[in-house]
Amino acid sequence: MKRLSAMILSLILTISLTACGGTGEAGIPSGAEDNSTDETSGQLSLSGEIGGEITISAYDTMQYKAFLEDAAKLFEENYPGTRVNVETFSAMPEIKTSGQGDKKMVVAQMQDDPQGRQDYINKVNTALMSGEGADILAMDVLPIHKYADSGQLENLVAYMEADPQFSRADYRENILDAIEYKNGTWFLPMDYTFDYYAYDSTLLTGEAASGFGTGSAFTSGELVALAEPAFDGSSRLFNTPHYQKGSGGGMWGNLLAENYTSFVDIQNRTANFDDGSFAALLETVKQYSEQGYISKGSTGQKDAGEMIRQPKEASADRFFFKPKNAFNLISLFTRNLGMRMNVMAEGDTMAIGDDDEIAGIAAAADGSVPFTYEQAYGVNANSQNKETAWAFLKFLLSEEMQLSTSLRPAALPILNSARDKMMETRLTSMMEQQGQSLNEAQLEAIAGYNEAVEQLSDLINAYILEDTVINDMISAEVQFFFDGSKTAEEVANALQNKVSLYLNE
Amino acid sequence: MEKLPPRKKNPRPRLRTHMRGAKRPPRIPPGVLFLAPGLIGFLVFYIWPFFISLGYAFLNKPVNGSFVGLKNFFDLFHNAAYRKGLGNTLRFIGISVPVNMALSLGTAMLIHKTKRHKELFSLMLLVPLVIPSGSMVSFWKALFAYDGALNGFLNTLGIAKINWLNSQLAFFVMVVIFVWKNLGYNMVLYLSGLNNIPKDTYEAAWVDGAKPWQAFRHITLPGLAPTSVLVLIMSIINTFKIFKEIYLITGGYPHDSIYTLQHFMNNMFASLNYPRLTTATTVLVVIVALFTQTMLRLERRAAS
Repeated sequence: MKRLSAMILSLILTISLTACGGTGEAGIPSGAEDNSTDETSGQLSLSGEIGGEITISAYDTMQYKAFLEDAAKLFEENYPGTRVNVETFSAMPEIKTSGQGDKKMVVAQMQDDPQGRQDYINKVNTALMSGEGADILAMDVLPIHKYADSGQLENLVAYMEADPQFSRADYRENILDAIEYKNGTWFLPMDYTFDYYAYDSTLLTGEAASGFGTGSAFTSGELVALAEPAFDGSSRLFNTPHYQKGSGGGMWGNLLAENYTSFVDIQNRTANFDDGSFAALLETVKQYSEQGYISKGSTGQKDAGEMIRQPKEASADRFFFKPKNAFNLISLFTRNLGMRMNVMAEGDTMAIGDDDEIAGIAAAADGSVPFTYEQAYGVNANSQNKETAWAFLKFLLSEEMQLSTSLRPAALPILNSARDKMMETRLTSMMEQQGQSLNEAQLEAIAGYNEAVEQLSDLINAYILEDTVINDMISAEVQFFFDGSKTAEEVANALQNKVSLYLNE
Repeated sequence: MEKLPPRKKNPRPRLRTHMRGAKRPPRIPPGVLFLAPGLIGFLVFYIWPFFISLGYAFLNKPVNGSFVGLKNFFDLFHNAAYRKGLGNTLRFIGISVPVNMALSLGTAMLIHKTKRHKELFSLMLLVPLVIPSGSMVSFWKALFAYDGALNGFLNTLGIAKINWLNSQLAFFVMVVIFVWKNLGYNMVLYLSGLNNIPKDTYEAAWVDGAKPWQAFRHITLPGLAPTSVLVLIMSIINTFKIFKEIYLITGGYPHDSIYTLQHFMNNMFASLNYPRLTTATTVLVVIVALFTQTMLRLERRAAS
């Protein structure tokens, strides 16, 4: 026993003395910093040989599968000898159809499945731990910052600089700048989208509306301040319910998104829920509801049937402001041309009214203007075929794929040339199905739409790094406030403890 | 001198299986042969992966990491989440194990004294062990949820609802679940220990005028010493297994009071922080091994 103890002690001493020291915080790997030092100096050289087999993995079947399978087929035709495997994880959504006569509505409803997401993340982690995993990983549910920090993702800056066929100027450069994390680019978005506010030009006129337009950015609080003098209770300020359980939507979802970075700083691993501002935000939502600023709406997660019935209920109210997504910006330009498209998102009708105009893009409380994406991909650092993986990513960014109808239409292509052509291509296709073609007025409207999109997009300067685990924590705790089982301070304190624990593990 | 009877011829000649000086082939004990399949599985699926993954504990990151010696081990004890998990785990062991041991001993003594239906009572208390955790989780959730049965009952008594799973009381919910699940197992061990204490000793004590409490203190407890050591070790090991139910009920990031070492390690895996995960695992293995060795030595000394 004595000899054994002596041997163990000697071993410990030996290991301590021969330790080389870490290049980063132990246990919290600094892959991000290391990779940037090696690869942004342009040391990567691409051989130009594309071949072999690669695999792409995504969680969200509905959003990713069709696009990836189309891309895989075309890529294999363009590069004979390559094989692209597509793996998706989630189940396809429930599809409901409803209609009367010739009018039909098809609603596909995705059920939020936190356990399913976690199972997928565990599956990917297990594969990565064994040194394998898919060559390309979709960044739909995976925690980008963790994978970047632990060196699991390739820094794509090196590939962008080493590839003579890739030019940043061909894409939205402010988007590419916004996604940088710890001096690296760890994923590439295929598209982007943003939220903006439309306002009712009959309710807000004159000086109150003088600052509105495609060059402006507003938070919901700023809009409330502008509209309050004109508010008389006959109309609501926003057409959102105060809280939507489980979906992160409603006024609470908007306010949280605007203030997210003030509560959670993922890069610096700090949480700030207990300084009173989070509790105040919760109380603000309740006040808005009590003061009649926001619509009645339901507080539960809507099912597809309710979403279909709602347009008739919501049209009776008038709203000062309507939070909208870039997708239905086109309706503002085509509403008088017989091409109105009413889009429902998050259970609320987002129909464009006849008097609606653009107030400005949605801004965060710190003044930044964020964007989100529908599809983004990163390259696995364990991949044995990184060059082919990079070639496939580039192919996804080509005009052919950026204009593909299987890329979700709700988002804007990141490739500049594709974005200019996208709306005309889609509307032309729609009109041709009806045996018609676009007339001059419609083409002019499309040009106006493109200009508005570019002006609003020019304001984008941030990508808010979120974490689905933290979002689930917030969603679970906030529910206790809205159902009355906890006070705002109790929720804030509970979140402070949980999120701090998570960030500092 | 008497003549010795003639030597009987051995109908079966003795086979010379080995020459003088040659070694006998080793005789494998039957016990080892019976243990071999389980032992091989244990080595392949537990021991070998543990040593394979041990390398991560000395690197700063899982992919292309560099050697950092024992830095991860020192940093582990400076990590607030680890200290919280360790503190909660020790607190849980410190409360739930004595409670479980006391209740299971008391139950065993009651059943030991019962003259009828002993097997039935034992079986009833063993049922929680065999019910799958996943099945019981829905029951616990239905019982302790904010809109659950317990709060419904309290409501009928005019008492305000309590947030059992998202407050400090979550700790006691965890203790209740642990005791409910493991009471039967320890009770069976204690029953066996009680059966091994000679009845004559008790009779002699009664003849000498000993009171029940004195008999318990001077006969039962010392007689149960070896069993108690085993129950203690198994109870401590079982405290780590309660993570399954707690995770299914409250998720990976529960209330502060029930965030244990297993939550920490599970979350490290999900975060791809393999260096910290294997460091924490190694520390736990060393602590448990040292503790077990110490307890077994104390038990041997007490027995001798």
